[in-house]
Amino acid sequence: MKKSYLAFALCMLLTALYISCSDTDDEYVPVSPVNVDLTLVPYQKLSEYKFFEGGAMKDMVPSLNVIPYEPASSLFTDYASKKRFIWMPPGVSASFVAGNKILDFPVGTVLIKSFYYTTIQPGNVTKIIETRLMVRKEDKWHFYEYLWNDEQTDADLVSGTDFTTGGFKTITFTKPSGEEITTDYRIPSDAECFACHKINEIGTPIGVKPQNLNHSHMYGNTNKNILAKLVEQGYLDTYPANILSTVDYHDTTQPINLRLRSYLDANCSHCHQDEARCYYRPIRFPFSQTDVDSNIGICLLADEPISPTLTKVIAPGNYNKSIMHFRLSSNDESERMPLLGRTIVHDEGVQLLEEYISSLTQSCN
Amino acid sequence: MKKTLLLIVLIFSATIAEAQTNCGTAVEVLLGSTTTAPTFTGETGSTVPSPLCGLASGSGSKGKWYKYVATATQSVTVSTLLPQNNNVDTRVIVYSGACGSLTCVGSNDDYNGTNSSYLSFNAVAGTTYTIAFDNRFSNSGFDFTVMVTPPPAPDRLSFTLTSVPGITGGYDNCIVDMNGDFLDDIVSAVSNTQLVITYQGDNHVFSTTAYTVANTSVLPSWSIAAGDYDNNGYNDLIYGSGSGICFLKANADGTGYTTDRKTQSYLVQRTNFVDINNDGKLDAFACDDNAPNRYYMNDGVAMNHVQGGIGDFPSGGNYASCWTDYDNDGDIDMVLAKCGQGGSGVGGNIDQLFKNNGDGTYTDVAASANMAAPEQSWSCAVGDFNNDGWMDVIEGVNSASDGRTNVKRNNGDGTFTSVSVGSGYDTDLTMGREFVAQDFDNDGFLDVLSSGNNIMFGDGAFHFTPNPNTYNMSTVDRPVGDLNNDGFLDIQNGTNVLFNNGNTNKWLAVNLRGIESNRNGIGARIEIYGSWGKQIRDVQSGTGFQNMSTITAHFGIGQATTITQVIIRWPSGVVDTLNNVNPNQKLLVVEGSTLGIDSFNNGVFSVYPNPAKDVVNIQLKDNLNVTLKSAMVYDLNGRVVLTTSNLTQPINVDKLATGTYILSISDSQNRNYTQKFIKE
Repeated sequence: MKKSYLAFALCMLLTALYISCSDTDDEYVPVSPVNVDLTLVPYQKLSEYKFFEGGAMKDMVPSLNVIPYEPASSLFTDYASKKRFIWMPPGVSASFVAGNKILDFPVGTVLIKSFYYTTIQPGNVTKIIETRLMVRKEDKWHFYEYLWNDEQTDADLVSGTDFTTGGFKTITFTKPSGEEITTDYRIPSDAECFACHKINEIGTPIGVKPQNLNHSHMYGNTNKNILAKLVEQGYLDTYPANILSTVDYHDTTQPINLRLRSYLDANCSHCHQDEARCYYRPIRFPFSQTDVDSNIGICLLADEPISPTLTKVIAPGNYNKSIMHFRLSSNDESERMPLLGRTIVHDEGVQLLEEYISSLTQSCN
Repeated sequence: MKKTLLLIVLIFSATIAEAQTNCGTAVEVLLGSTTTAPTFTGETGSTVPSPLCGLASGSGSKGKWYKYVATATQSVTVSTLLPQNNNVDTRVIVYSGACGSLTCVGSNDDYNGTNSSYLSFNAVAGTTYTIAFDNRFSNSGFDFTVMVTPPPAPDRLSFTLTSVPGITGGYDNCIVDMNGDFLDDIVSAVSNTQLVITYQGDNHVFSTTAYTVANTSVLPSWSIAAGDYDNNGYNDLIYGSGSGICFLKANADGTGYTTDRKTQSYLVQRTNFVDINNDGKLDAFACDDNAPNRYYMNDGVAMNHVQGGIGDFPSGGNYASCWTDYDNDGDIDMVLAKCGQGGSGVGGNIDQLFKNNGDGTYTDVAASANMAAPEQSWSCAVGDFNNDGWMDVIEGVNSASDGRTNVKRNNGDGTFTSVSVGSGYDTDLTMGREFVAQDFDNDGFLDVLSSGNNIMFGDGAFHFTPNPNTYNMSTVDRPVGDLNNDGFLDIQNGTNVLFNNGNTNKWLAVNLRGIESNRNGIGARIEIYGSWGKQIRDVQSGTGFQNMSTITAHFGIGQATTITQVIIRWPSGVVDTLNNVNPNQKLLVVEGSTLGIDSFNNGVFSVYPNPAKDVVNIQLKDNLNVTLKSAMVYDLNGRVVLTTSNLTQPINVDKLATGTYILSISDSQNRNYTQKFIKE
């Protein structure tokens, strides 16, 4: 799948070059087809933005100047796969603020994130469910939601009461474990987007922090650091060499505590950080803060104990007595964490947490 | 010789290793002894202790069994809190009764923040107690002692945890009368297609019925409330979930439920049934965690979704809507407990107070009422804690980041004053989501089912004292009701019930049957008078954060022997008065039943002749744009004795027995008007 996508992209590129060269003797300046008129956005159809090359839109082959990226560790949303892209209008760029801070994006920036499954049943087929856009307009970030049609030819804007109330799509897919799952995949409402994407009640992206992008990604046939790619593209002014960075939590060559802290940053820190939704809880899950035991919850008595046995956020050495494990393992809506974005347990995340808690030897008493 | 010794040793070890592996072979231990329990490792065929008697976190895979035969009646403690154990992780359960039918005496895990177990119980001479440990958290061996210890401080009020057969689990958050007999029942939302009700019958006998329902899509994972929104005599339900709400409407005889799943998908917190526009039909309210609150207006046909107008902070933070008449103007107002970001803050955590404008609209007056506080409250316990006739509010916090639980006295002038200092809540450092006001010990002063698995007992002067010992209850699922009809409130805990052991205090339970008002009388103010002065309750559906507790208004009156007066102020404006009411009874008051036949003034019609013999004529008042549709005649027990939808001719009352009746007429807008008449 990945290979054919790459081959396809290369093919398209070569064809484009060949045609352009043979067409004219002038120096060829490729023009991006992307069309984002902030006064008209949101468009009714995702295709109108022309973020993706002609041909089958569902292949999500990015148009010129639409740059794919991926954070080192990503948010779990019911085992959905994701493709992420960033686009900026010509002549502007984002500025580096700090390794653990969202890049300061210029007006006109669009963050594109598609959610899809490769194991939809019956037939074990690939289906894109939704594409979410964050568009930086003059006043603030705007959230737009596009729902893909069953034919997978385009996606329609979710608007009006459909966007104020959200919805769901019943899907059946196969988990990595082979287990078949049928669930109501949640299509977020405007308010639910905002519940996570906010700092001090101001909308904000979550993942696009330098700490999460400071790793290699395949661009064409070149493996390139994402931040370097953004600079090369003209999308980022500069970045320092020494960024304290998250790791891919799947990467077993990394220390367990870095893997778990990266996982918590991606899955929990958008609420459990200063000035965010769950500011009122003492835990702090941004990667830059979880090196402190009390921030990550080690030996920390939870505000709301579950039972006399479950009183600490993390009980070192014993995940069965750790509320974090209880909440990550639960599907009950009033017990589970994260609160939004999942309806099923992330087995691999729970396993990672178990491994981490088992490795801890701090004494609480 | 050597071989024989080895054999003996082997036999002996085998006995030790296997002796304590099940209840039947439990090893007897003596008072004052220290016993070494061998490691669980390598032990085979042992019985896992069950039931767990309140222990959370599931079962172990092995058990160790001992027994102690009490020689005297005294407080005995089983403890692994011993230095030689090096904080090894143990759990203990003590049972009485025969193997095979063990009864819980108590359990303990993680005593006082340690990994040890420490359980004191009152041993009765001659009783055999089975002591069981499991390996849930450790396979290591350990020592334990059985010692005489000073008895724990006596309970101010005690409960007995008893398993109630039939409770099906799933969601254990709803106690309410479901079959119209005014006995509280236990509702279990088991799955999207199954609702199970454990009905309380006479003499504490429960019977359980499972109802198959059309797919509700959601479950009451965040909250549940009950109320009779179609006024048919059977309570209906609302499920509040992470993806919106669903109604379950009881059919005409309460033997089936219709699903009405609403399409709006949002994160629901507290739900209630309440007559928001006071038209005699219950509406439903749902706190939205991420956006302005939602409610469903009842037009007599459908529950219609509305968003906005009652708690509009853009990103929500709405956790509990507590409906009460705080300003004693006769209409229902609402205290909104809020939680959110906090700190220097953007305001989503600032509590609100909605004053009913009398026309179905509400205005937030929290700032001028001194109720706009930032504490991170998930529920509010509303009640008249000092019996001065004004509803006070305890904002219960689930985080200490912006202040502790706040006790607020209603000054009677539209403002509140924090009286937390010295209230007992200033020194109570526990937090939780569920705070509910009730009089559990029937002393005439409201208590609070509170955080820290305890009840804070009120003294009528804003001083609250916890029971010396905590109760074995869930921190979250803890609906309240009278499940053995003894006038003392009980608390459900999963498939068990904490039955209130009561005391000698007297009580009064008041059930309402609205005719012009909503049938449950939700929103009615009940006042009782006697040697204590005055006590008040507002009838509510959906108190605390996520549970549904009994709709019955429950009063304790201490050792007083007479209730000189009971006054019901109905949402319709009707006021019923009963004089010299005996305590220790369940009172049923039908709206208007105490009024004289001349006291009605429905403004729409009158009847003649009154008293009537064969027929009742209806005289519509002049110049009214009202179309009368149908009529119901109630006796003074609230039973419907006659219905008709033919109002073009006089109503034939020929067959009615001699007595007093209430005639209720609905118009084409489903508004009800009532008039009393006498049948000769």
